[in-house]
Amino acid sequence: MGYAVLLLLAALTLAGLSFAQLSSDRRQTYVVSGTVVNAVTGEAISRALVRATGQSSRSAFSDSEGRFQFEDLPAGQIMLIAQKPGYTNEQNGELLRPIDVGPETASQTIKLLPLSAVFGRVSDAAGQPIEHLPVRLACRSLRDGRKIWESRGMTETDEDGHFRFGNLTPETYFISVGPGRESGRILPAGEKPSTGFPQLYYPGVPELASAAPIQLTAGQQYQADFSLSPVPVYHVSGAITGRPPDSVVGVSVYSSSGDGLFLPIQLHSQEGTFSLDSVPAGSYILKATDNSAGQALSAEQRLTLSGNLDNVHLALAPAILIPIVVRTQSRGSGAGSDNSNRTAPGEEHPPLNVSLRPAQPSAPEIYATFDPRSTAAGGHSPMRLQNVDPGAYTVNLMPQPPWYVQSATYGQTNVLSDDITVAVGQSYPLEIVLRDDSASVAINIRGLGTAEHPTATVVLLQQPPSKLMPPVQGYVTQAYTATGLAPGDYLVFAFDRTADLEYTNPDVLAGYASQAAHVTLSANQQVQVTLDLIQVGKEE
Amino acid sequence: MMRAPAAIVCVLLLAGVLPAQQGSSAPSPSSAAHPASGASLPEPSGFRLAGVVVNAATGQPMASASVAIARLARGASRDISQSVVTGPDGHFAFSALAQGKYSLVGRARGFGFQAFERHDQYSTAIAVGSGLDSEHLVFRLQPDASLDGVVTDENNDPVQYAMVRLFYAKSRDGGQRGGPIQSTQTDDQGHYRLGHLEPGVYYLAVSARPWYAQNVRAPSYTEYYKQFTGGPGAAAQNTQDDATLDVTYPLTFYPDATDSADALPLQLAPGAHETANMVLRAVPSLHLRIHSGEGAQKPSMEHMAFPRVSQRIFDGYLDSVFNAPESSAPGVVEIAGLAPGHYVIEVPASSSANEKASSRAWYREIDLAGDADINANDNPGFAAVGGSILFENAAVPTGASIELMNPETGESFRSSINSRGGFEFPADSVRPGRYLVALESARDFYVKRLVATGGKMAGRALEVGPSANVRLAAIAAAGEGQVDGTALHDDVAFSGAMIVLVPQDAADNAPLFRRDQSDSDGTFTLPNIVPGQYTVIALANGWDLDWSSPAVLQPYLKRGAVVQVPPGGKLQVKVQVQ
Repeated sequence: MGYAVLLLLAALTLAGLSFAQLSSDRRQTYVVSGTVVNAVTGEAISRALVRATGQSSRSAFSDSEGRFQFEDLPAGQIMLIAQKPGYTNEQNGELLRPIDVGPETASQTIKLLPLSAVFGRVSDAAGQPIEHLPVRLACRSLRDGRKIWESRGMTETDEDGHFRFGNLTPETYFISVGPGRESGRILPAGEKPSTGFPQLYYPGVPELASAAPIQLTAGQQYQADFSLSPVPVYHVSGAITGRPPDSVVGVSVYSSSGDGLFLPIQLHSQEGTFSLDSVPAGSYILKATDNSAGQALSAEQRLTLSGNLDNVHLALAPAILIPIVVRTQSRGSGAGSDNSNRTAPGEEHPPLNVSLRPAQPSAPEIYATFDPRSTAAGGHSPMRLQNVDPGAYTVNLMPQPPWYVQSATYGQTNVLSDDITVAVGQSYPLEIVLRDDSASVAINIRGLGTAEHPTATVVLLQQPPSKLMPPVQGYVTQAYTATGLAPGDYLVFAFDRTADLEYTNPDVLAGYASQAAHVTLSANQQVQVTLDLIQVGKEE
Repeated sequence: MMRAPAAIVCVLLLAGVLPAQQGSSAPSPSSAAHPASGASLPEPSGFRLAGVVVNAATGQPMASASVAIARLARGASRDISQSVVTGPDGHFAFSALAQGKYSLVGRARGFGFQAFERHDQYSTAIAVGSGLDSEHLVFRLQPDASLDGVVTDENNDPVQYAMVRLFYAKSRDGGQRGGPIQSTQTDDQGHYRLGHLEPGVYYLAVSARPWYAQNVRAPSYTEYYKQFTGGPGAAAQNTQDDATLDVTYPLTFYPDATDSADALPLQLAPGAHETANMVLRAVPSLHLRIHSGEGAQKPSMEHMAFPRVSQRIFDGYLDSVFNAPESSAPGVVEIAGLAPGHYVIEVPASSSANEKASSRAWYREIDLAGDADINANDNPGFAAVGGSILFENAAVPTGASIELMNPETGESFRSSINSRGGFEFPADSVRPGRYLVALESARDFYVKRLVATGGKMAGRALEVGPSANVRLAAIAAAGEGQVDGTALHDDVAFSGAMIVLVPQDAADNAPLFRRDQSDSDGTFTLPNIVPGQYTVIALANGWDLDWSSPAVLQPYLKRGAVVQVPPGGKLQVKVQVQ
């Protein structure tokens, strides 16, 4: 009953607070007032809910001129947060600053960033609306300083062909519509429509690679209309082979860019056959998966449809599994001896996490799993990457300090400097050597702690850059010690803001190299460095 | 001709299949020149079915409308067999047709799939054959209506993600009120749109939570404060802000009603695109606390299942309340975010390894005007309803079930019948009320006899009291009957009349009613009839009548045809259209 316990704790906390308030009834109180404004237009925002959180929590609504006021606040620190539908209070990742309540508290201005929307109409060549067409919104956003690909929603056109995605943060978006059927005529039984609508990316291209990004600014209402021409539709059928007895096979269709499509599939499990009707001409990926026999089986087939396809063969094969072999070499400053140690079955989780980032932007990241019991059955390492689709990947290794990655290889590939290519029948173990004679850097940043620059984000980029994520620390207030660093050369950066910065991309960081500090670290070394804050967006 | 409800038809549209009629009925041999005299004679063929499609709203001929036919014949598939697109003058024609009855369906952009002369789920089938004119049809396609609008709060700000629902203003199937027929959510600008609406009369309901609402507070805070400090509670200090945020939006009906009785019906004409804007006004949230009555020391509510909360709207329809946050603390469950109104609280039984911690199922009807406290032990339990049914000279048909339907609320409960004929409704489902008892999915079987102990039985209506233990005993027999007939007006076949098979003691026997619409040759079929005495009536303009009401039907009965349907009997009648 975690919920009940939580409420009970809340009740006790409240009890304590109110008791404190009662006992210091005669304490001096102050007024805190201010205005809530639209960060883009500067206009006042009425009916925003403003919360003052401190010793006790208060809330108030802004009036028609955006003004709010809290009476009787005791001296001390409070946080002010405003909320209103259609706005966000995430202001460029800035940390909320506490406000000192006292006789000199100035009037506060709280800025809210207006949210944006993408809307549009989908019509055919004659200008008639197309109904029930799927519309997808994807976003290329920055997360942890690198670009990631996220689905941000799916909807359907209405009877006027309209769609709308609201409450969007200002980021870079891609929109696609389709595939869909034409639904005009009532057809006799057994007759199939001869045309349909393909999947297209805005402004009307078949591939994500050539799609136009929609760069939304705060508060923008972006209109993205589509005009679709019908294309022939075809029949696709085929067989799934390599099925274990009593298998439960699933078949799904993806666009060539990796979007899962809702095309109805007739699957005959007994016979191991499948068929799809009314598939618009275009490029697709067909995937079959089966998890019934304890081992994951999969098959994949790329199709380019320009006619009926009746002999598609999906041959199930064990899904690609990459075992991870971790060797730890303890040479820590205390140990002195070389305790080389290879991960043995049934051992504890090695001191690192592993994931694969697909080169294809819309595919999901694959995380390593750890199961000490699984070694007995398969003879594999307890740590592995499962169900890896063929393709190119960047290996991401995240060791826990004091461990660092000394080397990592996949077959002949040095994963610290190159991406790997995973192919059916050609998979290798991922061999990783960790060492614990890591170095550390105590970093001091000049120009921090002011109202304008309260915190910084510190990035340490190894030279030459490796494929691994560089160590990053956000919200550094003045000094910070980075630990678990591999010996080598580093550029140290301290950024004032990172909202629009790909701060883990070596190419982007190279542009700031002249403002970074350079350090060279040897094993077990502790180094101090002082550097200046880099003001992003301000030219030197 | 009867067809399945529109929702099913839409699904089947893509597959090109017309829904099967309950129990297939043969086209009646309507012409003396062509008696259905056996399979050896070739069927007369070479007939045409033709006409013009017009916009029912404007009377204008419609080009490029899609029109299709499906043959209605015993044992034959009811698939769409031919489809055509109307020419510039709206004309369509199907030729080389065999004699028989055909279902005629059409659609066009802005005109949803519909059958010829549709009324509710009925339509007029076209009889084709010698002596029958099937070439001058006027197919009036009804354009879809739509409704859109903006939902705002009292400060004229849009309300995002409000749930907007549309109800039929009149029940469609004889008193039973269904749930919403369409629902949607407002977008980030508070805008909603409901499209593809059949012309008709609707109610619109909007529900939402204020975006700033904070309704949950520690329910037994005061008690805990006392317990831990030994002093009097000082809760008021902390709820100062809560009061302005502890608000909710009442379920609001168009245009501005919080009581469904004050809802204004929206009349949507064919092709109308109406706008209905709504304003939601926040009211203080009411809190309903349910005490286990076992003292705060014992965390007994841990085992109490969370209550289901519903609101009674319209004539009794039970509408689940989704936006009422629930919270629990030892000894109490609190439901917050409630607006004043009439609520039904239902608490399912819960079982626990520790038998003392298990709790019985109960329900409570309550009019809320302010915060309220109720004790879990003070409330009536549900009725236990079960029994057995004997299938005469037959095994229990697989999939057969007994249905209890409350005509006031539209609620229905089903219990499957086991292989020995036993059935038992879930212990936390049946509240007191009047229920119609029906046998479902039992092929050709009908209920011949039905008696009850622990509840009052009248016809097919069962009166269930609070905490009653009702045992039903029924005998089912094979042999549902069928009435085929012709609707005549001044001795001429009448197309499109509403045909009603009215049972005796109509008020208590709603499950025995059957309906149809007469086809182009005046013929109709009433299948699956429970043997007994009935009156068949035919009404020319009866589609807006509340046909299930005995008072409404009374004036028409004396000009109807009285039929005595024996088990398995097939009767022929002629009925004068009124």
